[in-house]
Amino acid sequence: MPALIEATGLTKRFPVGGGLLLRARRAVHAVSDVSLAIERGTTLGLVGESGCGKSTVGRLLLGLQRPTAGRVVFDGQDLGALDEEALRKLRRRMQMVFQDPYGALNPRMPIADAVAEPLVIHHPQLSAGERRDRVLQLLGRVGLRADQAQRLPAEFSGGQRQRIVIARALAAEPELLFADEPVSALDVSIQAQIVNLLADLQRERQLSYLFVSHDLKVVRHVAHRVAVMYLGRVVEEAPTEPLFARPRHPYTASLLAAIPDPKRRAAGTPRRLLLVGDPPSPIAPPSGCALHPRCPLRPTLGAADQERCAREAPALAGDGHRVACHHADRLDDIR
Amino acid sequence: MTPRFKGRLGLVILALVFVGSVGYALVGERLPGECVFGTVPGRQATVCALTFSGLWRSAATGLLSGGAATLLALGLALLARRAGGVVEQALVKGAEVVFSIPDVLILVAIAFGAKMLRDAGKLDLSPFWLMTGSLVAIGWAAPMRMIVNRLRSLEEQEFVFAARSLGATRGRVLLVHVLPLARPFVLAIFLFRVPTTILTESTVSFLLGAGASGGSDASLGAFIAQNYRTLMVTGFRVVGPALLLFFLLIVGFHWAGQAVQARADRT
Amino acid sequence: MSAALLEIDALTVEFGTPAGPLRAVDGATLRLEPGRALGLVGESGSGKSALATSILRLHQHARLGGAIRWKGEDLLRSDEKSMRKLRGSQIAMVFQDPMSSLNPAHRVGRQIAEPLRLHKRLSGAAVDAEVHALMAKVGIPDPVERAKAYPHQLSGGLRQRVLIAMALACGPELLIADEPTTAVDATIQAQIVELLRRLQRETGIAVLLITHDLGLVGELCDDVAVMYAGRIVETGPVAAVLGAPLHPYTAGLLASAPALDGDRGARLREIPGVVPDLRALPPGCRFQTRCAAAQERCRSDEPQWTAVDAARGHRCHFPLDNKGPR
Repeated sequence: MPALIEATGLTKRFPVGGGLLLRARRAVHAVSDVSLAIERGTTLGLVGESGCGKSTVGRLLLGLQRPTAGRVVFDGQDLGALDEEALRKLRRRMQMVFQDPYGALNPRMPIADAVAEPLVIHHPQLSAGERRDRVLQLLGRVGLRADQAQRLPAEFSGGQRQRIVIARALAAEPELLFADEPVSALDVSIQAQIVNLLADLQRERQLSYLFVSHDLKVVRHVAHRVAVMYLGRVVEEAPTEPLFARPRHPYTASLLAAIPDPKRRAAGTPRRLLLVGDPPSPIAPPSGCALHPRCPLRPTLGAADQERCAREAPALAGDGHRVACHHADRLDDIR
Repeated sequence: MTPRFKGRLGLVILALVFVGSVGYALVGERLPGECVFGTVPGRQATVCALTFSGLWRSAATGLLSGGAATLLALGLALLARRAGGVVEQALVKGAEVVFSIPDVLILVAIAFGAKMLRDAGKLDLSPFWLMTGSLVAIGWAAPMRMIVNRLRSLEEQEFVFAARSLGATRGRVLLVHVLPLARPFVLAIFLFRVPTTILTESTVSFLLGAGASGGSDASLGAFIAQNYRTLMVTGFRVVGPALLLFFLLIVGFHWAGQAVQARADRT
Repeated sequence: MSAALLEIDALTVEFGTPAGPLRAVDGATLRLEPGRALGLVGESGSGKSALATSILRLHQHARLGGAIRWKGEDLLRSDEKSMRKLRGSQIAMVFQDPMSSLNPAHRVGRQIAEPLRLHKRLSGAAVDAEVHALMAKVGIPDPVERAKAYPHQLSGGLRQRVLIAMALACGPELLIADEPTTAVDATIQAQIVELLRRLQRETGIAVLLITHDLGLVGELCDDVAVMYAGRIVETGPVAAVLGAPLHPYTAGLLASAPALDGDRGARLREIPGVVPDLRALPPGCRFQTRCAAAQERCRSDEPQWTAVDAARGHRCHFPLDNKGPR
């Protein structure tokens, strides 16, 4: 069965500075040559640090931004071939849950109106009564009471607001949900509530998720497949278990090693696979493999190999478990 | 003084002035005795009568012109944001151009145009409408730019992006999400515009000669302008009340405007 | 038992708000020994940040009650002059967001030099040498060049290191770190954590780490104190508390975070409900509205502090016994 949504060679560059006089305009290479697919009813986890482009990928997939190059095909339709109006109609089937539950809701709109908005936009034929019924049903499904329906967002906690945002997204009866760091701004005890809710909804409604997060533990829990991004490129992409059990890309291994582990303290061992230096700027990415200045593998390589990393960007290769690294086979030596 | 207190005080002042003038209109003439300030030299009318009629005139002009200018600015701003792109740039640039032309030139052009129309027998605008039109013409440009900027920054809020991701059209986003939030800001602009307009009107009436007779069709500002010489002769008897009311009107609206602006800034 | 470096005794921290006084910390008692690392864990509304910033009495408008004893001396009875001498020299603090803690208008070298000038009265070349040494100590490459940079020219990780360098400038005995890794990326977090571990080993500095991340506490700290709604609900050595928590809230926190080796398909154990409004606390135990094990007594009596032994304690009528399988 074909994937619900598939991206091929997605690239997005944002021009930066440069007036009429500057010929060579600088650009932020937010996303470079990203190819992904999400099957129906599954979750693709997208992880990476700030500036890796994961949020931009999500927006490109939903058609909220147009790519500089590449293609997005949703349920057989090429988003690039649609006009503004057709795209707007397609939006109903792809919804978004935001990182900041405080910003994502209009502070002056009672939550019932906020949740009803997709119905007003996409199902204008519904009567006010029918709309109200659906809204109450959705609020109930996410754990909010009918008597809270007329309240303003300010009267709710962060976790509750996130539920409202989810209810609003569900009102459109989407098939794909782009969850952009949906639990990062919430307390840990509330995160569990939202994660469980999202998992339940996926089972009930056969929803597909693009779950973007910097928190690997949460991603491991919710995702069926995981793609790791670094500076606008996918460096590794595989089913969750194999990726976490035995990552093949040095960056993935570093991310996993970065997770605090009480056992390290007990054993007194220092962290391995530490990335040196700072994340590079997306405006001036390093030549060749973007990771090479910081790669923990590099010091173990011979001069010729190191030179190759600095010169040639590795392609994402493999099937099932894809990696973009010239020397992935050497990773075991430094684990 | 906190903005809220100032706002309340401003509203109280306006209310008192309003009640006073309504009171005068209803019963003033029938009260025994003459207006305590006497008559205006060279006129049949009393100081009280002319002052209060001037007050009505100024207030009416201020509210009408200020309101029309604000609404025009709002309408053009919404149009600009809705259309976006080249149209928006053109409209904003247009506002900037109008804003940079000295008011005097615009007024002279309007006065000239009105005179032409009158001479050709096509249209004879009363001084009042001529004044109102002129004030709107010079008063819409700056507010329009401010409102456009405000709408722009409101549109950057995440829930606006969320609404677009839900599939809302640009028009819906503006009307349902952005405009309600811009209301306090627009209201503040209106409340500031009124006193500005009233002040401007006194200057304009000189240039256009409206209310030149200093009679009952003169605004407060025009009345003060026509009779300021009496300060030297009879002291504050003639223009004192007018000056006081003028001052109260300006301050009342201004403080109310500041209170609303403080509230607008909080969103 | 060695003399405690820092002893917090029944501390209350109250802020005045337009809606009335808000008691962010309601009777907290803690002990920190020299050279040890204590993790203060809690979620929003727990009061952990208020507690940490109150040690140095940084809030000008907070009302403090109880006692904070630093090497025997009660800081709450000290005057502003003594507090100023203490801040930055004996007790140093590192905040969450490096960008807002650094002055954007001054070069970082100058900012690191500031505590040196204030407390050690150094000047001229001696200051520069000390600044470069500090920067090298916290792992900033090219210290001489980097000292001339402005904060916005440095990455988040480097800025955080600059803050740590400023904190260590005068060789403090206590470092209070308020969410030092929250605002930075995972790989930078790892660097900062390794730096803190190394500093602990090399300088024997005591650390008070404020965080919501139990894993971080597990990696950096010797002891942990868990806070909820303004009160401390459990304390003890890290291994003991994380391995066999006594308070249901601690257990809930541990269970609700997905573990790297946990069962992927299973539902996460939730703590239902929300943190109560500090102005409208439930009767009895503050946690009872969300506690799966709450009983009648919990709804009427607020639990007092129970010390299990010298280091371990909890605030619960029915602590978990951790004997059965979890």
